[in-house]
Amino acid sequence: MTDPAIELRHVSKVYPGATTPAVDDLTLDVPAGELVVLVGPSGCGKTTTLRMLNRLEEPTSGEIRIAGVDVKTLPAHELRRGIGYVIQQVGLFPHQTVEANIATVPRLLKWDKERIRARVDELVHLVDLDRSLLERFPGALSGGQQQRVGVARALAADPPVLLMDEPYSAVDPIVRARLQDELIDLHTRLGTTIVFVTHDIDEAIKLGDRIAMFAIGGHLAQYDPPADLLAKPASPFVTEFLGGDRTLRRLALIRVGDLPLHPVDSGSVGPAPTIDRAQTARGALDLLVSSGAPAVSVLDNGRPIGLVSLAILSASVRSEDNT
Amino acid sequence: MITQLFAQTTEPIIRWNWLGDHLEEMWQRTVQHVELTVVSLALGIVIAGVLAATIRAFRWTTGPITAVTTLLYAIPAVALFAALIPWLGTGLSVPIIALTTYSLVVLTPFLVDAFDGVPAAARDAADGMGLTTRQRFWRVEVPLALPAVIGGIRIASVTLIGLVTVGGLFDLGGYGNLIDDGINRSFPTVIVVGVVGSVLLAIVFDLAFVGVGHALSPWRRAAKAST
Repeated sequence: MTDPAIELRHVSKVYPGATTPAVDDLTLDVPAGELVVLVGPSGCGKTTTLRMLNRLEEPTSGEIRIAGVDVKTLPAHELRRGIGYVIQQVGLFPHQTVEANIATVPRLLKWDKERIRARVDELVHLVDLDRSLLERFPGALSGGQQQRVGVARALAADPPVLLMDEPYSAVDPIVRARLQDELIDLHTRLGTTIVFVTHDIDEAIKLGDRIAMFAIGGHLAQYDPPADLLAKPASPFVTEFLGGDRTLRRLALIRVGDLPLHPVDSGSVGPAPTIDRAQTARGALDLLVSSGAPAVSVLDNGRPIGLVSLAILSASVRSEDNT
Repeated sequence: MITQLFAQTTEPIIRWNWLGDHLEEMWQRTVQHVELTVVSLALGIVIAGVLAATIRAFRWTTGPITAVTTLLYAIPAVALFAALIPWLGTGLSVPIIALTTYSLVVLTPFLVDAFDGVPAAARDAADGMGLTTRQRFWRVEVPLALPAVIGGIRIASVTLIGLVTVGGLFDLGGYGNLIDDGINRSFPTVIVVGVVGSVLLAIVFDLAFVGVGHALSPWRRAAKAST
Protein backbone atom coordinates (compact mmCIF):
# COMPACT_ATOMS: atom_id res chain seq x y z
CA MET A 1 0.00 0.00 0.00
CA THR A 2 1.20 3.52 -0.82
CA ASP A 3 1.57 6.09 1.93
CA PRO A 4 -1.75 7.06 3.47
CA ALA A 5 -3.20 10.29 2.10
CA ILE A 6 -4.47 11.36 5.49
CA GLU A 7 -3.11 10.38 8.90
CA LEU A 8 -4.72 11.25 12.21
CA ARG A 9 -2.66 10.60 15.32
CA HIS A 10 -4.28 10.76 18.77
CA VAL A 11 -6.53 13.59 17.66
CA SER A 12 -8.91 14.99 20.27
CA LYS A 13 -11.28 17.91 20.17
CA VAL A 14 -12.91 19.43 23.22
CA TYR A 15 -15.15 22.41 22.49
CA PRO A 16 -14.82 25.32 24.93
CA GLY A 17 -17.23 24.82 27.80
CA ALA A 18 -17.89 21.16 26.97
CA THR A 19 -17.18 18.54 29.61
CA THR A 20 -16.82 15.59 27.22
CA PRO A 21 -14.69 15.58 24.09
CA ALA A 22 -16.38 15.75 20.66
CA VAL A 23 -13.57 13.59 19.28
CA ASP A 24 -11.61 11.39 21.66
CA ASP A 25 -8.05 10.21 20.90
CA LEU A 26 -8.72 9.32 17.27
CA THR A 27 -6.01 7.54 15.29
CA LEU A 28 -6.92 6.72 11.70
CA ASP A 29 -5.25 6.35 8.29
CA VAL A 30 -7.08 7.12 5.06
CA PRO A 31 -5.27 5.23 2.27
CA ALA A 32 -4.55 7.27 -0.86
CA GLY A 33 -7.23 6.96 -3.51
CA GLU A 34 -9.84 5.39 -1.25
CA LEU A 35 -13.32 6.61 -0.43
CA VAL A 36 -13.64 6.48 3.34
CA VAL A 37 -17.02 7.09 4.95
CA LEU A 38 -17.31 8.44 8.49
CA VAL A 39 -20.66 7.26 9.82
CA GLY A 40 -22.41 7.35 13.16
CA PRO A 41 -25.29 8.87 15.10
CA SER A 42 -25.52 12.65 15.47
CA GLY A 43 -23.12 14.00 18.06
CA CYS A 44 -20.55 11.27 17.45
CA GLY A 45 -17.88 13.67 16.20
CA LYS A 46 -17.82 12.62 12.54
CA THR A 47 -18.40 16.13 11.17
CA THR A 48 -15.96 17.61 13.67
CA THR A 49 -13.37 15.10 12.47
CA LEU A 50 -13.96 16.10 8.86
CA ARG A 51 -13.75 19.81 9.67
CA MET A 52 -10.45 19.31 11.47
CA LEU A 53 -8.94 17.95 8.24
CA ASN A 54 -9.20 21.36 6.53
CA ARG A 55 -8.85 23.23 9.82
CA LEU A 56 -12.36 24.64 9.96
CA GLU A 57 -11.96 23.25 13.47
CA GLU A 58 -8.62 23.07 15.26
CA PRO A 59 -7.83 19.89 17.22
CA THR A 60 -7.30 20.33 20.96
CA SER A 61 -4.46 17.82 20.75
CA GLY A 62 -2.95 15.34 18.34
CA GLU A 63 -1.56 15.59 14.85
CA ILE A 64 -3.10 15.50 11.36
CA ARG A 65 -1.03 14.94 8.23
CA ILE A 66 -2.24 15.21 4.66
CA ALA A 67 0.15 13.82 2.02
CA GLY A 68 2.75 13.64 4.76
CA VAL A 69 2.49 17.34 5.66
CA ASP A 70 1.34 18.44 9.11
CA VAL A 71 -1.71 20.63 8.39
CA LYS A 72 -0.69 23.08 11.10
CA THR A 73 2.43 24.07 9.17
CA LEU A 74 0.39 25.72 6.38
CA PRO A 75 -1.72 28.88 6.63
CA ALA A 76 -5.33 27.63 6.87
CA HIS A 77 -6.50 29.34 3.66
CA GLU A 78 -3.63 27.85 1.63
CA LEU A 79 -4.28 24.39 3.00
CA ARG A 80 -7.99 24.68 2.12
CA ARG A 81 -7.33 25.72 -1.48
CA GLY A 82 -5.69 22.31 -1.94
CA ILE A 83 -8.62 20.35 -0.46
CA GLY A 84 -12.05 20.03 -2.06
CA TYR A 85 -14.99 20.71 0.24
CA VAL A 86 -18.68 19.92 -0.31
CA ILE A 87 -21.39 20.56 2.30
CA GLN A 88 -24.98 19.53 2.79
CA GLN A 89 -26.52 22.95 2.13
CA VAL A 90 -24.17 23.12 -0.90
CA GLY A 91 -23.25 26.70 0.03
CA LEU A 92 -23.08 27.98 -3.53
CA PHE A 93 -22.62 31.74 -3.60
CA PRO A 94 -26.11 32.95 -4.59
CA HIS A 95 -24.82 36.21 -6.07
CA GLN A 96 -22.41 34.54 -8.46
CA THR A 97 -23.20 32.64 -11.65
CA VAL A 98 -22.66 28.89 -11.79
CA GLU A 99 -19.52 29.54 -13.83
CA ALA A 100 -18.09 31.98 -11.26
CA ASN A 101 -18.94 29.56 -8.47
CA ILE A 102 -17.06 26.72 -10.13
CA ALA A 103 -14.10 29.03 -10.81
CA THR A 104 -13.78 30.09 -7.14
CA VAL A 105 -10.58 28.24 -6.24
CA PRO A 106 -8.81 28.63 -9.62
CA ARG A 107 -9.38 32.39 -9.27
CA LEU A 108 -7.95 32.37 -5.76
CA LEU A 109 -4.95 30.53 -7.19
CA LYS A 110 -4.71 33.23 -9.89
CA TRP A 111 -4.95 30.92 -12.87
CA ASP A 112 -5.17 32.81 -16.18
CA LYS A 113 -8.58 33.20 -17.83
CA GLU A 114 -8.00 30.70 -20.62
CA ARG A 115 -6.99 27.99 -18.20
CA ILE A 116 -10.00 28.67 -15.96
CA ARG A 117 -12.39 28.55 -18.92
CA ALA A 118 -10.94 25.29 -20.15
CA ARG A 119 -11.14 23.77 -16.66
CA VAL A 120 -14.76 24.88 -16.17
CA ASP A 121 -15.64 23.21 -19.49
CA GLU A 122 -13.97 20.02 -18.36
CA LEU A 123 -15.76 20.03 -14.99
CA VAL A 124 -19.19 20.69 -16.46
CA HIS A 125 -18.66 17.60 -18.59
CA LEU A 126 -17.30 15.60 -15.64
CA VAL A 127 -20.29 16.18 -13.35
CA ASP A 128 -22.77 15.94 -16.22
CA LEU A 129 -24.16 19.48 -16.11
CA ASP A 130 -25.79 21.24 -19.04
CA ARG A 131 -23.48 23.98 -20.35
CA SER A 132 -26.42 26.37 -20.64
CA LEU A 133 -26.58 26.49 -16.82
CA LEU A 134 -23.21 28.25 -16.57
CA GLU A 135 -24.70 31.73 -16.93
CA ARG A 136 -27.50 31.10 -14.43
CA PHE A 137 -27.52 31.93 -10.75
CA PRO A 138 -27.71 29.06 -8.22
CA GLY A 139 -31.22 30.10 -7.15
CA ALA A 140 -32.52 29.02 -10.55
CA LEU A 141 -31.15 25.47 -10.26
CA SER A 142 -32.75 22.29 -8.87
CA GLY A 143 -31.32 20.66 -5.74
CA GLY A 144 -29.55 17.96 -7.73
CA GLN A 145 -28.05 20.49 -10.15
CA GLN A 146 -26.84 22.63 -7.25
CA GLN A 147 -25.17 19.61 -5.66
CA ARG A 148 -23.40 18.81 -8.97
CA VAL A 149 -22.18 22.40 -9.19
CA GLY A 150 -20.96 22.06 -5.59
CA VAL A 151 -18.92 18.99 -6.55
CA ALA A 152 -17.57 20.71 -9.68
CA ARG A 153 -16.54 23.70 -7.58
CA ALA A 154 -14.82 21.45 -5.03
CA LEU A 155 -12.90 19.61 -7.77
CA ALA A 156 -11.99 22.74 -9.74
CA ALA A 157 -8.32 22.90 -8.81
CA ASP A 158 -8.00 19.10 -9.03
CA PRO A 159 -7.36 18.59 -5.31
CA PRO A 160 -5.87 15.24 -4.23
CA VAL A 161 -8.32 15.13 -1.30
CA LEU A 162 -12.07 15.80 -1.33
CA LEU A 163 -14.11 16.26 1.86
CA MET A 164 -17.87 15.80 1.71
CA ASP A 165 -20.12 16.61 4.68
CA GLU A 166 -23.52 14.89 4.33
CA PRO A 167 -23.76 16.18 0.76
CA TYR A 168 -26.88 14.28 -0.24
CA SER A 169 -29.06 14.40 2.86
CA ALA A 170 -31.13 17.33 1.58
CA VAL A 171 -32.05 15.88 -1.84
CA ASP A 172 -34.88 13.44 -2.55
CA PRO A 173 -34.11 9.69 -2.58
CA ILE A 174 -34.18 9.27 -6.37
CA VAL A 175 -31.79 12.15 -6.99
CA ARG A 176 -29.67 10.97 -4.06
CA ALA A 177 -29.25 7.49 -5.57
CA ARG A 178 -28.23 9.01 -8.90
CA LEU A 179 -25.73 11.39 -7.26
CA GLN A 180 -24.27 8.45 -5.31
CA ASP A 181 -23.80 6.46 -8.53
CA GLU A 182 -22.17 9.49 -10.14
CA LEU A 183 -19.81 9.87 -7.18
CA ILE A 184 -18.74 6.21 -7.39
CA ASP A 185 -18.08 6.70 -11.08
CA LEU A 186 -16.21 9.95 -10.48
CA HIS A 187 -14.10 8.35 -7.78
CA THR A 188 -13.20 5.43 -10.05
CA ARG A 189 -12.17 7.80 -12.84
CA LEU A 190 -10.26 10.40 -10.80
CA GLY A 191 -8.79 8.33 -8.00
CA THR A 192 -9.23 11.26 -5.62
CA THR A 193 -9.01 10.41 -1.93
CA ILE A 194 -12.47 11.13 -0.54
CA VAL A 195 -13.62 11.46 3.07
CA PHE A 196 -17.40 11.36 3.19
CA VAL A 197 -19.56 12.02 6.27
CA THR A 198 -23.06 10.60 6.56
CA HIS A 199 -25.49 9.35 9.22
CA ASP A 200 -27.04 6.94 6.71
CA ILE A 201 -25.56 3.42 7.01
CA ASP A 202 -26.96 2.37 3.62
CA GLU A 203 -25.16 5.27 1.96
CA ALA A 204 -21.97 4.35 3.83
CA ILE A 205 -22.14 0.72 2.68
CA LYS A 206 -22.91 1.72 -0.90
CA LEU A 207 -20.12 4.29 -1.23
CA GLY A 208 -17.34 3.33 1.14
CA ASP A 209 -14.16 1.44 0.36
CA ARG A 210 -13.82 1.62 4.11
CA ILE A 211 -16.21 2.70 6.84
CA ALA A 212 -15.17 4.40 10.05
CA MET A 213 -18.03 3.97 12.50
CA PHE A 214 -18.15 6.47 15.32
CA ALA A 215 -19.92 6.04 18.65
CA ILE A 216 -21.25 8.87 20.82
CA GLY A 217 -18.42 10.60 22.62
CA GLY A 218 -16.14 10.70 19.58
CA HIS A 219 -14.83 7.14 19.86
CA LEU A 220 -13.95 5.15 16.78
CA ALA A 221 -16.08 2.00 17.18
CA GLN A 222 -14.79 0.17 14.10
CA TYR A 223 -12.81 0.89 10.93
CA ASP A 224 -13.17 -1.74 8.21
CA PRO A 225 -14.31 -2.34 4.64
CA PRO A 226 -18.13 -2.65 4.47
CA ALA A 227 -18.12 -6.45 4.02
CA ASP A 228 -15.95 -6.93 7.12
CA LEU A 229 -18.02 -4.46 9.12
CA LEU A 230 -21.18 -6.42 8.30
CA ALA A 231 -19.56 -9.83 8.82
CA LYS A 232 -17.77 -9.03 12.06
CA PRO A 233 -19.25 -6.13 13.99
CA ALA A 234 -16.74 -5.24 16.69
CA SER A 235 -19.27 -4.38 19.38
CA PRO A 236 -22.97 -4.49 20.23
CA PHE A 237 -23.10 -0.79 19.31
CA VAL A 238 -21.94 -1.51 15.76
CA THR A 239 -24.36 -4.43 15.43
CA GLU A 240 -27.22 -2.24 16.55
CA PHE A 241 -26.27 0.61 14.22
CA LEU A 242 -26.05 -1.80 11.28
CA GLY A 243 -29.64 -2.83 11.90
CA GLY A 244 -31.55 -6.12 11.77
CA ASP A 245 -31.06 -7.05 8.10
CA ARG A 246 -27.29 -7.32 8.33
CA THR A 247 -27.22 -10.60 6.37
CA LEU A 248 -29.22 -9.10 3.51
CA ARG A 249 -26.84 -6.12 3.38
CA ARG A 250 -23.92 -8.54 3.20
CA LEU A 251 -25.52 -10.42 0.32
CA ALA A 252 -25.92 -7.07 -1.44
CA LEU A 253 -22.13 -6.70 -1.45
CA ILE A 254 -21.46 -10.11 -3.09
CA ARG A 255 -21.64 -10.59 -6.87
CA VAL A 256 -23.28 -13.86 -7.92
CA GLY A 257 -20.46 -14.41 -10.42
CA ASP A 258 -18.01 -14.63 -7.51
CA LEU A 259 -19.90 -17.42 -5.71
CA PRO A 260 -18.87 -21.10 -5.98
CA LEU A 261 -21.69 -22.11 -8.32
CA HIS A 262 -23.14 -25.55 -9.02
CA PRO A 263 -22.15 -26.68 -12.49
CA VAL A 264 -24.93 -26.20 -15.02
CA ASP A 265 -25.10 -29.88 -15.96
CA SER A 266 -25.45 -31.21 -12.43
CA GLY A 267 -28.76 -32.93 -12.84
CA SER A 268 -31.85 -31.49 -14.39
CA VAL A 269 -33.12 -28.46 -12.54
CA GLY A 270 -35.87 -27.62 -14.94
CA PRO A 271 -36.49 -24.11 -16.21
CA ALA A 272 -34.73 -21.87 -13.65
CA PRO A 273 -35.05 -18.08 -13.34
CA THR A 274 -31.90 -16.32 -14.59
CA ILE A 275 -29.64 -13.57 -13.27
CA ASP A 276 -26.57 -11.86 -14.74
CA ARG A 277 -23.25 -12.66 -13.03
CA ALA A 278 -22.71 -8.95 -12.24
CA GLN A 279 -25.88 -8.83 -10.12
CA THR A 280 -25.75 -9.22 -6.35
CA ALA A 281 -26.36 -12.30 -4.23
CA ARG A 282 -29.21 -10.37 -2.68
CA GLY A 283 -30.83 -10.17 -6.12
CA ALA A 284 -30.44 -13.93 -6.48
CA LEU A 285 -32.08 -14.48 -3.10
CA ASP A 286 -34.94 -12.24 -4.15
CA LEU A 287 -35.46 -14.41 -7.25
CA LEU A 288 -35.27 -17.65 -5.25
CA VAL A 289 -37.90 -16.48 -2.80
CA SER A 290 -40.22 -14.90 -5.35
CA SER A 291 -40.07 -17.77 -7.90
CA GLY A 292 -40.01 -20.66 -5.44
CA ALA A 293 -37.46 -22.37 -7.70
CA PRO A 294 -34.69 -24.43 -6.04
CA ALA A 295 -31.95 -22.60 -7.95
CA VAL A 296 -31.25 -19.56 -10.16
CA SER A 297 -29.26 -19.85 -13.37
CA VAL A 298 -26.33 -17.42 -13.54
CA LEU A 299 -25.63 -15.91 -16.97
CA ASP A 300 -22.46 -14.51 -18.46
CA ASN A 301 -23.27 -12.58 -21.62
CA GLY A 302 -26.52 -14.52 -21.84
CA ARG A 303 -24.83 -17.94 -21.49
CA PRO A 304 -25.52 -19.97 -18.32
CA ILE A 305 -22.31 -20.54 -16.35
CA GLY A 306 -23.75 -22.17 -13.22
CA LEU A 307 -26.55 -22.40 -10.73
CA VAL A 308 -26.93 -20.68 -7.40
CA SER A 309 -29.05 -22.17 -4.62
CA LEU A 310 -30.13 -21.08 -1.18
CA ALA A 311 -27.47 -23.40 0.28
CA ILE A 312 -24.72 -21.56 -1.64
CA LEU A 313 -25.99 -18.15 -0.53
CA SER A 314 -26.23 -19.32 3.04
CA ALA A 315 -22.74 -20.83 2.94
CA SER A 316 -21.27 -17.61 1.52
CA VAL A 317 -22.48 -15.63 4.47
CA ARG A 318 -21.51 -18.26 7.05
CA SER A 319 -18.05 -18.88 5.62
CA GLU A 320 -17.27 -15.18 5.89
CA ASP A 321 -18.30 -15.30 9.52
CA ASN A 322 -15.63 -17.89 10.21
CA THR A 323 -12.70 -16.12 8.57
CA MET B 1 -47.31 80.69 13.05
CA ILE B 2 -47.31 79.39 9.52
CA THR B 3 -51.08 79.08 9.42
CA GLN B 4 -51.36 82.70 10.53
CA LEU B 5 -48.95 83.63 7.85
CA PHE B 6 -51.06 82.07 5.14
CA ALA B 7 -54.29 83.44 6.61
CA GLN B 8 -53.24 87.06 7.01
CA THR B 9 -51.32 87.70 3.89
CA THR B 10 -52.76 88.62 0.56
CA GLU B 11 -49.80 86.99 -1.08
CA PRO B 12 -50.65 84.11 -3.47
CA ILE B 13 -49.27 80.72 -2.46
CA ILE B 14 -46.96 80.76 -5.44
CA ARG B 15 -45.61 83.69 -7.40
CA TRP B 16 -44.55 81.95 -10.57
CA ASN B 17 -42.38 84.82 -11.81
CA TRP B 18 -40.28 84.55 -8.60
CA LEU B 19 -39.32 81.02 -9.65
CA GLY B 20 -38.02 82.17 -13.00
CA ASP B 21 -35.95 84.92 -11.40
CA HIS B 22 -34.41 82.67 -8.73
CA LEU B 23 -33.39 79.54 -10.60
CA GLU B 24 -29.80 79.98 -9.53
CA GLU B 25 -30.67 80.30 -5.84
CA MET B 26 -32.92 77.24 -6.02
CA TRP B 27 -30.17 75.26 -7.74
CA GLN B 28 -27.64 76.37 -5.10
CA ARG B 29 -29.97 75.30 -2.27
CA THR B 30 -30.52 71.95 -3.98
CA VAL B 31 -26.80 71.35 -4.26
CA GLN B 32 -26.32 72.25 -0.58
CA HIS B 33 -29.16 69.96 0.44
CA VAL B 34 -27.74 67.06 -1.56
CA GLU B 35 -24.23 67.70 -0.22
CA LEU B 36 -25.34 67.72 3.39
CA THR B 37 -27.42 64.57 2.90
CA VAL B 38 -24.77 62.61 1.01
CA VAL B 39 -21.86 63.53 3.29
CA SER B 40 -23.87 62.79 6.46
CA LEU B 41 -25.15 59.54 5.00
CA ALA B 42 -21.66 58.44 4.00
CA LEU B 43 -20.24 59.23 7.42
CA GLY B 44 -23.25 57.59 9.04
CA ILE B 45 -22.66 54.38 7.05
CA VAL B 46 -19.01 54.27 8.11
CA ILE B 47 -19.76 54.85 11.80
CA ALA B 48 -22.79 52.55 11.79
CA GLY B 49 -20.55 49.98 10.09
CA VAL B 50 -18.14 50.12 12.99
CA LEU B 51 -21.00 49.91 15.50
CA ALA B 52 -22.60 46.98 13.64
CA ALA B 53 -19.28 45.13 13.47
CA THR B 54 -18.88 45.68 17.21
CA ILE B 55 -22.36 44.31 17.88
CA ARG B 56 -21.73 41.27 15.69
CA ALA B 57 -18.42 40.55 17.40
CA PHE B 58 -19.64 41.19 20.95
CA ARG B 59 -23.38 40.62 21.22
CA TRP B 60 -23.54 42.10 24.73
CA THR B 61 -22.88 45.52 23.17
CA THR B 62 -26.26 45.41 21.38
CA GLY B 63 -28.11 46.92 24.37
CA PRO B 64 -25.67 49.77 25.14
CA ILE B 65 -25.18 50.75 21.48
CA THR B 66 -28.91 50.70 20.76
CA ALA B 67 -29.57 52.75 23.90
CA VAL B 68 -27.00 55.41 23.00
CA THR B 69 -28.05 55.78 19.33
CA THR B 70 -31.72 55.94 20.34
CA LEU B 71 -30.98 58.51 23.02
CA LEU B 72 -29.08 60.66 20.50
CA TYR B 73 -31.99 60.37 18.08
CA ALA B 74 -34.33 61.56 20.82
CA ILE B 75 -32.55 64.92 21.11
CA PRO B 76 -34.81 67.42 19.29
CA ALA B 77 -33.10 68.54 16.10
CA VAL B 78 -33.59 72.23 16.88
CA ALA B 79 -31.92 71.77 20.26
CA LEU B 80 -29.00 69.81 18.81
CA PHE B 81 -28.31 72.42 16.12
CA ALA B 82 -28.61 75.23 18.67
CA ALA B 83 -26.21 73.43 21.02
CA LEU B 84 -23.55 72.78 18.38
CA ILE B 85 -23.46 76.21 16.75
CA PRO B 86 -21.70 78.03 19.64
CA TRP B 87 -18.94 75.40 19.45
CA LEU B 88 -18.57 74.95 15.74
CA GLY B 89 -20.04 78.05 14.13
CA THR B 90 -22.39 77.99 11.17
CA GLY B 91 -20.18 76.00 8.82
CA LEU B 92 -21.07 72.65 7.30
CA SER B 93 -19.72 70.74 10.29
CA VAL B 94 -22.76 71.42 12.49
CA PRO B 95 -25.43 69.97 10.21
CA ILE B 96 -23.14 67.12 9.19
CA ILE B 97 -22.42 66.12 12.79
CA ALA B 98 -26.08 66.38 13.76
CA LEU B 99 -27.35 64.48 10.72
CA THR B 100 -24.71 61.76 10.97
CA THR B 101 -25.70 61.26 14.60
CA TYR B 102 -29.36 60.89 13.69
CA SER B 103 -28.63 58.42 10.89
CA LEU B 104 -27.04 55.88 13.26
CA VAL B 105 -30.28 54.75 14.88
CA VAL B 106 -31.61 53.68 11.48
CA LEU B 107 -28.44 52.38 9.85
CA THR B 108 -26.91 50.34 12.69
CA PRO B 109 -29.68 47.75 13.15
CA PHE B 110 -30.10 47.43 9.38
CA LEU B 111 -26.39 46.66 8.97
CA VAL B 112 -26.47 44.10 11.80
CA ASP B 113 -29.50 42.34 10.31
CA ALA B 114 -28.08 42.50 6.78
CA PHE B 115 -24.84 40.76 7.72
CA ASP B 116 -26.58 38.33 10.09
CA GLY B 117 -28.74 37.39 7.11
CA VAL B 118 -25.83 36.16 4.97
CA PRO B 119 -26.44 32.39 4.65
CA ALA B 120 -24.20 30.44 7.02
CA ALA B 121 -23.62 27.84 4.30
CA ALA B 122 -22.15 30.47 1.95
CA ARG B 123 -19.84 31.61 4.72
CA ASP B 124 -18.81 28.05 5.57
CA ALA B 125 -18.21 27.24 1.91
CA ALA B 126 -16.13 30.42 1.52
CA ASP B 127 -13.93 29.37 4.43
CA GLY B 128 -13.72 25.82 3.14
CA MET B 129 -12.67 26.98 -0.34
CA GLY B 130 -9.79 28.91 1.19
CA LEU B 131 -10.96 32.53 1.01
CA THR B 132 -9.17 34.67 3.55
CA THR B 133 -11.33 36.54 6.06
CA ARG B 134 -10.97 39.72 4.00
CA GLN B 135 -11.81 37.97 0.72
CA ARG B 136 -14.84 36.38 2.35
CA PHE B 137 -16.01 39.78 3.57
CA TRP B 138 -15.71 41.64 0.25
CA ARG B 139 -16.55 38.84 -2.17
CA VAL B 140 -19.29 37.01 -0.28
CA GLU B 141 -20.64 38.86 2.75
CA VAL B 142 -20.87 42.40 1.35
CA PRO B 143 -22.60 41.46 -1.93
CA LEU B 144 -25.07 39.23 -0.09
CA ALA B 145 -25.80 41.82 2.62
CA LEU B 146 -26.13 44.68 0.13
CA PRO B 147 -29.86 44.45 -0.69
CA ALA B 148 -30.76 44.67 3.01
CA VAL B 149 -28.20 47.42 3.62
CA ILE B 150 -29.72 49.48 0.82
CA GLY B 151 -33.12 49.07 2.48
CA GLY B 152 -31.66 50.84 5.53
CA ILE B 153 -29.97 53.52 3.46
CA ARG B 154 -33.28 54.36 1.76
CA ILE B 155 -34.98 55.02 5.07
CA ALA B 156 -31.98 56.93 6.45
CA SER B 157 -31.69 59.14 3.34
CA VAL B 158 -35.36 60.13 3.42
CA THR B 159 -35.09 60.87 7.15
CA LEU B 160 -31.98 62.99 6.65
CA ILE B 161 -33.42 64.97 3.75
CA GLY B 162 -36.28 65.96 6.06
CA LEU B 163 -33.91 66.84 8.89
CA VAL B 164 -31.61 68.99 6.72
CA THR B 165 -34.46 71.52 6.44
CA VAL B 166 -34.38 72.00 10.22
CA GLY B 167 -30.82 73.30 9.83
CA GLY B 168 -32.26 76.03 7.63
CA LEU B 169 -33.70 77.68 10.73
CA PHE B 170 -30.08 78.37 11.67
CA ASP B 171 -29.05 79.33 8.18
CA LEU B 172 -27.06 76.13 7.76
CA GLY B 173 -27.90 75.63 4.09
CA GLY B 174 -30.30 73.63 1.92
CA TYR B 175 -34.03 74.06 1.38
CA GLY B 176 -34.44 74.91 5.06
CA ASN B 177 -32.93 78.30 4.34
CA LEU B 178 -35.70 78.95 1.82
CA ILE B 179 -38.39 77.89 4.26
CA ASP B 180 -36.91 80.06 7.05
CA ASP B 181 -36.56 82.96 4.69
CA GLY B 182 -40.17 82.60 3.57
CA ILE B 183 -41.44 82.57 7.14
CA ASN B 184 -39.43 85.68 8.11
CA ARG B 185 -40.58 87.61 5.07
CA SER B 186 -44.18 86.31 5.09
CA PHE B 187 -43.54 85.12 1.55
CA PRO B 188 -45.27 81.77 0.90
CA THR B 189 -43.68 81.13 -2.52
CA VAL B 190 -40.26 80.45 -1.00
CA ILE B 191 -41.77 78.19 1.67
CA VAL B 192 -43.56 76.14 -0.96
CA VAL B 193 -40.39 75.89 -3.03
CA GLY B 194 -38.45 74.65 0.00
CA VAL B 195 -41.06 72.10 1.02
CA VAL B 196 -41.74 70.75 -2.47
CA GLY B 197 -38.00 70.64 -3.23
CA SER B 198 -37.32 68.67 -0.08
CA VAL B 199 -40.08 66.16 -0.82
CA LEU B 200 -39.03 65.75 -4.45
CA LEU B 201 -35.44 65.23 -3.39
CA ALA B 202 -36.51 62.51 -0.96
CA ILE B 203 -38.40 60.75 -3.74
CA VAL B 204 -35.44 61.04 -6.14
CA PHE B 205 -33.04 59.60 -3.55
CA ASP B 206 -35.38 56.75 -2.72
CA LEU B 207 -35.87 55.80 -6.36
CA ALA B 208 -32.14 56.10 -7.02
CA PHE B 209 -31.33 53.65 -4.24
CA VAL B 210 -34.02 51.26 -5.43
CA GLY B 211 -32.31 51.37 -8.83
CA VAL B 212 -28.87 50.84 -7.34
CA GLY B 213 -30.09 47.88 -5.29
CA HIS B 214 -31.72 46.40 -8.36
CA ALA B 215 -28.58 46.82 -10.45
CA LEU B 216 -26.32 45.31 -7.79
CA SER B 217 -28.37 42.17 -7.14
CA PRO B 218 -29.36 40.62 -10.48
CA TRP B 219 -29.17 37.22 -8.76
CA ARG B 220 -32.21 37.95 -6.61
CA ARG B 221 -34.43 38.39 -9.66
CA ALA B 222 -33.05 35.18 -11.19
CA ALA B 223 -33.87 33.24 -8.03
CA LYS B 224 -37.36 34.71 -7.84
CA ALA B 225 -38.08 33.94 -11.48
CA SER B 226 -37.45 30.24 -10.94
CA THR B 227 -39.74 29.79 -7.93
